[in-house]
Amino acid sequence: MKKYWIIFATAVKSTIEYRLNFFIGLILPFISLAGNLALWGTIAEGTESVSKYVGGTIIWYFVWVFIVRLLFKNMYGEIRNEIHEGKISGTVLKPISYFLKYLFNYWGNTIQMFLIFLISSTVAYIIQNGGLDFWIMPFVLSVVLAHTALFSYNFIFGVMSFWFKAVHGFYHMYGFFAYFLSGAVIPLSLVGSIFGDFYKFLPFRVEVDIPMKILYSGNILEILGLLGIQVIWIVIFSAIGQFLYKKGSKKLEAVGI
Amino acid sequence: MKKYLRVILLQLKNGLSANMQYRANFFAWTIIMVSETLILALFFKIVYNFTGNINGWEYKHMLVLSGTYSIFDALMVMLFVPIMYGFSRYIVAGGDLDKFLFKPMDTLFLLTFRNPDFTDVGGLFSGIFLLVFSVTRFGINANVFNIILYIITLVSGMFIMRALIIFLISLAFKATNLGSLTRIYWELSSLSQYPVDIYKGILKTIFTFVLPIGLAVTLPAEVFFGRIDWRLMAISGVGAVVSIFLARKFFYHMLRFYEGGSN
Repeated sequence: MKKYWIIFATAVKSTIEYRLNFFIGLILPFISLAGNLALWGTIAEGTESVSKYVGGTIIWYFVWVFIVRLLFKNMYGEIRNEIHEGKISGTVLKPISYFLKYLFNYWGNTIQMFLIFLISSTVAYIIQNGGLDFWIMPFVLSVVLAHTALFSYNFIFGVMSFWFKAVHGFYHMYGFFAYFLSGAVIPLSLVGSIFGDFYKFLPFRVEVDIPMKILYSGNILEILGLLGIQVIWIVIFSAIGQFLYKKGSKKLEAVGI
Repeated sequence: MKKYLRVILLQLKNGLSANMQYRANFFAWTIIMVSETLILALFFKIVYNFTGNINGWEYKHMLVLSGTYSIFDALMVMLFVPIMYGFSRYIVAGGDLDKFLFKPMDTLFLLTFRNPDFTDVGGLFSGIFLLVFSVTRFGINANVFNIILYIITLVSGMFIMRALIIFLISLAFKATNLGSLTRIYWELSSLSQYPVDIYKGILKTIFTFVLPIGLAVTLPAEVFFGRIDWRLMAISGVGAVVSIFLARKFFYHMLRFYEGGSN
């Protein structure tokens, strides 16, 4: 396990190396937050059914979406580049799991944002609820699981580069539907009130909808069920990813080391 | 001038060939871009189930805005966005800029049209379709004058965003790793899919006068509703010329910090 912690520590250091890049990454989510708050604030002004979104206001909903998405990091590009540039040949021969290598790399890269996420969640929770209690813990856990699921499907698209020269289109296609059907753009309960609960059977809701449901639930059985759904999707994604890696690495042809 | 036009046409042809090389990827992009337009329309369909209008914007207005946004976005991706692809990593840090500097043409022009991207072409057609559909379905007044004004304001908006892109890429000469460059553009550009009227106070001032991204899409869409604000039209036109001029100045100023990296 020690080898993976070294990968984690290296990833942490690399994020500090380029401070301007890190700083810009920190500010960027505020731009979409401004757009969401402006739009939904205007809509909610005279609309009771929208303004009273499950347990909180629609404005708070988008503040929490912003906090949840602070950790977003695209690892697909790094995996794709490593495969296309042939650098993967250095890893294939080593006794390490390629999936775990990148999982630790992912969390190493996002650890600073995770700390910011923890501080933001705590502050927002105290402001909204007047104090801190136990119910923030399952929310934090579900966000960690949400981003592990996000990494897992990034991994799938990354290793697809063994077969395809250009997979960006497929990745973007999935990411686009995932973004819309995750609850980041519109609360899924509003979508469900018009089109039915079809979204419950799709994997996209693990990213935003489930953490948000957990945040407002307060029912331990419901929370455990929702966390279970996240775990199931992580297991499915990682199994597919590792299967594809196994198949793909067998057809790898690289010269030199 | 003729030489520049020839280069543009040649590069557009090369760009199309390069995109068509990976057909599955190209068609995946086409599906995405068509879906993006449809989902934007669907998004507003859901929203308007809960409200009649958003600060004076009815559903039909939002459809025109969504169509305009798709057209705007597709044209930007085709012509002006590709300059950002790998700019920090390959062009500046990798030293690829050398080969552009030695050519007897404007460097910024060559960089802009080095690889036009046709992956958003689906968005262009679906945007035009949505625009034509909403104009005919809701009986919106689309005479020749409106169409010409629409094109002028759309192009002005595109040049304002191009200036923003030039400004962003110029920063790469000072900072070695600016992987977030493209994300800055996308985040700012996504704000223009909503009408500028939803922003209030300081945000509205910023998105109208300081960083007029709010006008890029809202203004052309408003032409079709007869809401022609000549003052904002003038700001958009003058803003496009001035911002491109300043962005070019900034680019060539920052270019002095380029150290070269190839051999």
